[in-house]
Amino acid sequence: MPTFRNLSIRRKLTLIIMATSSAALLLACAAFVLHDLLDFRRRLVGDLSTLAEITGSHSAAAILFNDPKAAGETLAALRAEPHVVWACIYNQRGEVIARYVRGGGKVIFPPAPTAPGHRFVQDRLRLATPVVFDGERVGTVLLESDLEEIRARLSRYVGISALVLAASSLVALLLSANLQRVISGPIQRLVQTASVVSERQDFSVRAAKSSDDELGMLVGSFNVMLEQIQTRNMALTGSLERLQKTQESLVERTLEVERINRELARSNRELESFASVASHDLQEPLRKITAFGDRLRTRCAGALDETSNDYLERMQNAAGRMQTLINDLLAYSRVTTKAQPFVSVDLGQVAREVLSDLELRIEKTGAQVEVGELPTIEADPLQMRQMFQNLLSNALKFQRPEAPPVIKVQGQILNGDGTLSRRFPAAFGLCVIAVEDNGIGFDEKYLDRLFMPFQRLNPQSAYEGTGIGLAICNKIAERHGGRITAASAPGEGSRFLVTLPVRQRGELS
Amino acid sequence: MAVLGRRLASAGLFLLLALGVRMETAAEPLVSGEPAVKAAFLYNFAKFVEWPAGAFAGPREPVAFCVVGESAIGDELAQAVGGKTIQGRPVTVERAAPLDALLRCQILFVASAERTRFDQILAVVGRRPVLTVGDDENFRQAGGIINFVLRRNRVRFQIDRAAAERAGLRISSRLLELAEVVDPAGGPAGRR
Repeated sequence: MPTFRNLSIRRKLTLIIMATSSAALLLACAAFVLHDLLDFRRRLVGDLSTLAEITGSHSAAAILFNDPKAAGETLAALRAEPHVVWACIYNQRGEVIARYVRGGGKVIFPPAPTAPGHRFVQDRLRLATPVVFDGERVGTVLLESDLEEIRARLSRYVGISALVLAASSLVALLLSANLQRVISGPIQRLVQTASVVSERQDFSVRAAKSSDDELGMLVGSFNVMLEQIQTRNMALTGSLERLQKTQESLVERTLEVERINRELARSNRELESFASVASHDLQEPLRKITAFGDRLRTRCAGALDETSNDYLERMQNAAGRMQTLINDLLAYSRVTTKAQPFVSVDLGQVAREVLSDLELRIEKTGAQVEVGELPTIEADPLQMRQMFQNLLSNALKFQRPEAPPVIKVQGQILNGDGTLSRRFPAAFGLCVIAVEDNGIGFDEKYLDRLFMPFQRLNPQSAYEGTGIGLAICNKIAERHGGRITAASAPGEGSRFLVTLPVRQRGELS
Repeated sequence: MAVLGRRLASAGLFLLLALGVRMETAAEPLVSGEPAVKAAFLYNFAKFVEWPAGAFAGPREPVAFCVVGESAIGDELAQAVGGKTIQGRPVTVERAAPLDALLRCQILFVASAERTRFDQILAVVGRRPVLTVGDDENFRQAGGIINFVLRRNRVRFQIDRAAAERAGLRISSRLLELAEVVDPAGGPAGRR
C-alpha cells in the first residue's frame, strides 16, 4: 500500500483539497446540527411547558373542587400529543387526582415535585409546572415526554449531512481534479523534461513556461541551468575532440621520432664502424706507399732528376698528410667506440697535467697561463684530458703575431635556478669550464662549422692541423651529456665554454 | 439524655405515622370532613364568579362572606380564609349575620338549619348581586343559585344559571363544567 509521502503530487493535491473541504464541511455540519439540536431541545422544553401550563389552567377548577373525573378528561386531551408518555395532576396536598398514560399502560407516579422545572432523564424529558389560579398555587402538573422527535431529527440531519458531504465531496473531487492541474501540470512537464534530458543526454530540450508564479520561476531556472549545461557540454566535447586529435598526432609524431631515432642510431653506428674499419684498412696500403717511397728515395735518389725527386717528395708529403687524416679520423671515432666508464675526475689536476705536457710550447711562445679553481666531476678521465689538450693547444696555436698568448682557465657551477657560483664541490647541477685566450679570434657566423670534423676557418698554410680537434671536443661534451660553444670576434680573442653535468646517471663505476 | 433522645425519636415516629394515616384518609372521599370540604368549595366559588361593577364600594373592598344559621361550615370557613385574597381583595366572614346585614355580603351561605326561612332570607337579597349558596334541596327550589349535594360520598354542587343571571352574576364556564346543571323545569339533569 503506497503511503501518502510516495503518492504523486497530483494525487496529493487532490487528497489535500478533498480532506480540507471535507473537514470544513463536516465541522460546519456538526456545528449546525448541534446548534439546531440544542435549539430544538429548548423549543421542546418550551412547547412541553406550554402544554403543561394549558393543561394546568384547564384543570385548576377540577383541582379546586376535587373533581378527578374532570381533571382526567382534561389530561385525556394529551392523546393529541403522541410524544407525551404520561402525565398526572397533583392537588395542593400533593395527592394525585388525575393520571394519563399513553396507550393505557401502568406507571408508578413519583411523589409531587416541590419545585417547578424540567430535566432530561435518560431518553425522556420530565417537566413539572405549578397550577396557579388567582395568584394561588393550587396544584402541580407533571409530564413526561419521549425524545423520539429529537432522535428522528438527529437521524434526519445525519442523513442530510451525509448526502451533502457526499455531493460536495464529488463536486470537490471534480473541481480539484481540474484545479490541481494548475500546480501539478507544470511540475509533471518539468519532470518529463528532466527525465528526457537524463535519459537521452539531450540538453537542447526546454521546459515550457506556463505561468509567472514560483513554478514559472522554477521552470525558468531549470531552463537556464540546462542552457549552461549545454554550453559547457559543447565546450567540453570540443576540447575533448581536440585533445584526442592532439593525442593521436602526438602518438604519430612520437612513433615517427622513435623510428627516425632508431634509423639515425643505426646509420650512426654503421658510419662509425665504417670509419673505424676504413681507417684501419686504409692504413695498410698507405704504409706500403710510404715504405716503398722511402726505398725508392734511398736507392735511386742520385739516379733521378730534380723533377722526379720533387714528385717523389710531394708523394711522400701527401702520404704523410693522409696518415694524419686517418689518425684523426680514428681518434674522432674512438670517442664513442673506445669510451671509458665515468669515474670521479678532478678537472684541476687534469688541466695541470696537460699544461705540463705542453710546457715546451708554452716556453717557446712565451705564453701566460692562469688556471683557476676547477670542480671534480664524474667523467671519462682520458676524454677530459683529450678535451683540455685540444682546447689549450688551440689557444696556444692561434696566437696573434707579436702578441704572446694570455690564457685563462676557469670553472663555475650553474645552479638549478640559472645562477652561477663558484662554490665547490658541487653535488648537483652543471659546471661550466671556460677557456679564454687573446688570439686571432673568429667571426661568430662560422660558429656552426667550427665544431664539425675537418672544417677549418684558417688556411692550413698559416696554422697546421686537420680541423678535427674541436669536433672531438664537441663529441666528448655530447657523450657526457653536456655541450660546447664559443664566443669571439676576429682579432678579439676567443672564449670557449664547456658545460658538463656534475653527476652522470647510472654510469658511475 | 439517651433515654430522652429515644423518647423524642419514638414521638417523631408516632407523629409521622399519624400524618401518614391522615394523608391516607384525605385521599378518600370524606363525609366526616364534609364541613371542611364544603367550606373550601364555598371559598373557591368566589374565584369563579364575576360581580357587576356596583357590587363593591371600591377596588380594594373585601369580598364579604355571610353565614346565616348555625353550621360547622361557617366555622371551617372562618378558619380557612385567614389572610387569603380573592381576585386581589381581602376576605371577611360574618357568622350568624342578622338579616339586615345581608345586603353588605357578596356571598351568602344559608345553613340547612334555616330551612323554614329560605324564602324570607332570599327575599331580603332579592335581585341584588349576591351569590347565594345552600345545603338543602329546598334551598335550590326556593331560588338559591348554588346548592351542595352528596354523590357517592363526594361533595358536588348544583348551579341554577337562571338564578345567577337574575342576580346579575357571571359564573365562569369552568365552574359550570364541574356543576350539576339544573334545568328550568326543576330537577337535577346530570352533568353536561
